[in-house]
Amino acid sequence: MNALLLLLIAQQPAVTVDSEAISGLGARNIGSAAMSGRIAALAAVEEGARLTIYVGAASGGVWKSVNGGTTFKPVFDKQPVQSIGAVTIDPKNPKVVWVGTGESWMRNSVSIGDGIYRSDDGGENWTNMGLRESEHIVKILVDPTATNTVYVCVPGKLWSDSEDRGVYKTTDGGKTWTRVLRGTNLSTGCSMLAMDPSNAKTLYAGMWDFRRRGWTFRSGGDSATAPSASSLFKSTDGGATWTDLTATAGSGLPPKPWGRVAVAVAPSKPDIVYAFIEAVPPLNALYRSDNGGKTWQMLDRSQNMIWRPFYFANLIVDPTNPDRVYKPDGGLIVSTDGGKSFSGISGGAHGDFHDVWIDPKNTDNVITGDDGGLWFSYDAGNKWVKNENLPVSQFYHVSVDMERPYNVYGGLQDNSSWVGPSEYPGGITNHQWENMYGGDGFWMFADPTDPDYLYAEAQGGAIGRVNRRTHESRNIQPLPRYQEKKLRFNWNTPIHISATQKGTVYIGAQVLFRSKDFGQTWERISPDLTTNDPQKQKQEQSGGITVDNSAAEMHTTIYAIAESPRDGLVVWAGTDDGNLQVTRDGGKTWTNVAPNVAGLRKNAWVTSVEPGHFANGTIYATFDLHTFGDMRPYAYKSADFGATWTPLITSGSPVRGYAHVIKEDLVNPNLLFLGTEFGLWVSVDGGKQWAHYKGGDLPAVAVRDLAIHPRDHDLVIATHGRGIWIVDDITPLRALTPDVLARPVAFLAGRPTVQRLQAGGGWANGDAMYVGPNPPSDAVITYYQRRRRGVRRERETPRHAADEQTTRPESGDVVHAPGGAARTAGRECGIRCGVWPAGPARHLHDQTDEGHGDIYDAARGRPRPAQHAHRAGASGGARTGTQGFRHAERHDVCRRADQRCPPGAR
Amino acid sequence: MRGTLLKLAALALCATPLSAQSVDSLIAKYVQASGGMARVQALQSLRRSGKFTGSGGFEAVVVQENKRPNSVREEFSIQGMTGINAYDGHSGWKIEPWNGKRDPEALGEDEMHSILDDADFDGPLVNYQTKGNRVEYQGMEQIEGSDAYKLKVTRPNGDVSFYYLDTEYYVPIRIDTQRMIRGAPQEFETSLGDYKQVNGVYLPFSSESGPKGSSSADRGKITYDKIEANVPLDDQRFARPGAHP
Repeated sequence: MNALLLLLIAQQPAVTVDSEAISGLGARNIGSAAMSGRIAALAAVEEGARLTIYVGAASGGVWKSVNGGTTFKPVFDKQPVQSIGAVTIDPKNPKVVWVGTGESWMRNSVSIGDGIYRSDDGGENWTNMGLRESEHIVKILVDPTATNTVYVCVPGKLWSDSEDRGVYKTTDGGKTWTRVLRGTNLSTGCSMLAMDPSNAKTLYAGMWDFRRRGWTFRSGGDSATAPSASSLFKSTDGGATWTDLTATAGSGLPPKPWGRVAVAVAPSKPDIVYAFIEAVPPLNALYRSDNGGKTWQMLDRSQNMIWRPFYFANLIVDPTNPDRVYKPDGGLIVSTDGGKSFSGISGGAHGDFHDVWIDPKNTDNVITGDDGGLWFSYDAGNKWVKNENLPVSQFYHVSVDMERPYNVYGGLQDNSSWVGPSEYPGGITNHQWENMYGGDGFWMFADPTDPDYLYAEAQGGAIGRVNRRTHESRNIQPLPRYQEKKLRFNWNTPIHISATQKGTVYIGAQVLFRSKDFGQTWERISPDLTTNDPQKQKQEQSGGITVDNSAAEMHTTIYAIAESPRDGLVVWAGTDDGNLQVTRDGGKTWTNVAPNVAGLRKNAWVTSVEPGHFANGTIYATFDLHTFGDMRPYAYKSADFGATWTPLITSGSPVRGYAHVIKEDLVNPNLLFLGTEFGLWVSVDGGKQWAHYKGGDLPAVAVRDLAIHPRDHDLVIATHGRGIWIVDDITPLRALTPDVLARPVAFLAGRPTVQRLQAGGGWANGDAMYVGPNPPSDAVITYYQRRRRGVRRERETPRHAADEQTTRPESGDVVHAPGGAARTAGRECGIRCGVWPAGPARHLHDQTDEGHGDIYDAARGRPRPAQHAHRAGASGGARTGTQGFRHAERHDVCRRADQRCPPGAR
Repeated sequence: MRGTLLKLAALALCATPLSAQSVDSLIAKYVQASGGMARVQALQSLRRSGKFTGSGGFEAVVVQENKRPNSVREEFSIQGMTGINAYDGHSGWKIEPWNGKRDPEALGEDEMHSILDDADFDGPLVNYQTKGNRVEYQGMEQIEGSDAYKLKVTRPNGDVSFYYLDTEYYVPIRIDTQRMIRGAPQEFETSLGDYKQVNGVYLPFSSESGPKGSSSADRGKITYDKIEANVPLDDQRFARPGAHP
């Protein structure tokens, strides 16, 4: 019998490392909501006497408030995408909510969705109702008389041709959809949809011909293969037939070509229709019709009416006053004279507005969303109250320092560059985060040689060296040589701090710059490392009908830089147009190794490079083809300086979303972290298997950057839409060797636990403030229990019955348990944490526990235990074992640059 | 050998296809995994004794006594003082001695919602129909990467709990509760673990609770050292002191 059992055990399949196996290591979201993040869509309804609000974050899911905005909770976190383009509440039943995924304010960094969702219980549960290939949805309108009839305005794919765009209609609550209006080419979709609320069969649709590429954006105008199809349509039969309103001579509408179109009906007088039309200047303006679209009059064309239509194309008419119109733009503007003139009412809000909600019962109550979050007005938009409760911040990059506790640094979309503590007495409130620079923020680093200074940047490589105390900054951006054309700095220009030579900083344009004197002077250590393709250098003409000359379409630039942590002469530079260059002599000679990546499409954007920490020739790289319409992840490894490459994501891989970053662990070369547009993925076997990390219920939000703290062993996750998350102590992940994974149960070593002395901090903030949690103060005991679900799949086979037998041959009372011993059913599989001694005892068994409550006693002012080793024990029948762990005293509490730790405390 | 046979029976139980799950079959499996209805109903009283740990290391000794059909008394002791919340099947009361006041007062609205949950001896899933609870199966959902069966329980007072059952053992590993208090929702989540047998019934010996979305560091943890079954508990322990029967 025993021989048979051994044979059966030997036949066990390899252990799958999946989400369940790794997600027991929780993560905490330290925010921040101080800068919040871009809000794309809003909806609200009074339920009883209280206001329910749904907020669609550009890349951070849907948030719901049932108390008028005092508190919010995320309600879309279980869904596979987090970019929101539209939110609409059923006008008859406030529990029915529609969400269109994929933001449609089509900036360069916009994410994508996977269709339209419906909830029938106020957001608790969601069902994807289709339109899965839409990628972007901008408006959902529900027929107020027959709410199973719903119209959806789908701009469709931004980066590629697509059939899946236009106006869609369902009459069965979303079970089936019919496209009722389509563009005449594959690049034209719906940009806005409006309904006559008194006659819901009357619809107006703005159609928009658009296309973004890595190096250019076209809003309207002709494409290479087809004439422009932007226009304005009307239907009076629920979308069955449509009339092109520009076809009638003398309509007053401007001549084609057009770009983006916004349209809105005045709810209180539906013959009045407003349309913003991106026509060829000077006819780009607000137009108004007083007869349901037959004739139009050109009105306002102030700067905030016509600016950046790809980003601002929304009109909101007051529900009771047909002459009061809001236009979200760089500034929020409002007209009180029917559109003849507009006034700026941004006040103290952030700017770059996208949606407005007006309370139909009291139109003084207005809510708006912009690039800086959510804002409330109680005087019709004259003054604004900031919402402090939405941690939807959109980080691009993250770094850490060596303070104790350490600080987190990062830059955000349109929200500057911030530093915040990884822990703080009382929790990490918005107040603990400090803005250090300006503009859009990207890479940001503490100066490793002088903690009084840091490096931050704004878009287009505007790097500054900033004094942390005074906030004084000095622009140190490298300049072009005399009579040289301007340097090409990416919107998200890479900065890199040398790990081998303190004080050395890199920044990339089309050439690589290196400074050894804090940016005072720069040397060029490379030629142009890009393809230098002149066809991709027309950023100044980009925009389509409305030229939009920002650095957003600057192309043929260096996008990723990394110096080898093992050899400062080895430097890697990846470009946005597909080159991956390496120098092994400090910049004297360069080799483009991108052509060696077999099977990878040419010109793939190099999003990250990660030189290995264990071998000089090791390099990891992520490539991104989403700007060509390919949303799949690409990650490769080379062990020979890029001569040959191994793909890390093969067919059948569970990894989803275009890849932003890959990191190799600092201790275990087989432990890899991969950030994609849809989350964080972990491999414990060098990239053969990947598991979606969902610890702390981290949603499927874009993970743009990662940092591993070299002293504290935390993984710091920069999400583009949900702020910074920290996985406290990844040491247990490092221990997940094949041997451990094959065991039924194993303790995993953790970092020494630091005794935390109570310290006062924070103050009462009310309920409308986000507070990021601190790390656990308990000693954490982590163990791995082999995933049982995999076993269960083949449960009826004898060998797994045998496996059950051999894992617990002696645990008599357990064997008697129906269902196979429920005693440890909390968090049954994968890595689990128990906190010692007072945690939710997820020890496997308690019979041999030897721990006592010393640590807590100490923390509560009783005698503290000496720094010595403790042992926690657990038994699983024959699998009894113990795990030693240490706790060490914390030497000091020092958290800011001006309270730095004494050297001995580092 | 008997153990092996039992295990095989259990394995067959677990092999039910996911699509075949329904409220009643899931609850039946939960009851069976817990020890079977006979053993569950043989429990007439329970005394749970252990330790509460709050954020920052705050500790208290806790005792919870339950007696069928629906009496409960909860004691919370720090520094030699004991606070009491109790419900005798009719009314809820409390003693909060922390500032020297030792006479009982009525439980507030939030406390009443909470203690009614605690007074439900077998929890809301067992015999849910007779309690007037409505239970819906809402499919699989992941709890930190682990699959779980999601059951929505709506109590007669409108409180809603989402029970997430382990896909192996069918016992709850997390409970999310939404209570309407003074017209506003209050949401909590509780993680359960360390199930061990008490008179043949598996009960969770540890739990961790806090507002929904709170981190582990900010939640209260209860770890029971022992759970005694069928100890004699006088009805007087649940009745408000000084109250006339």
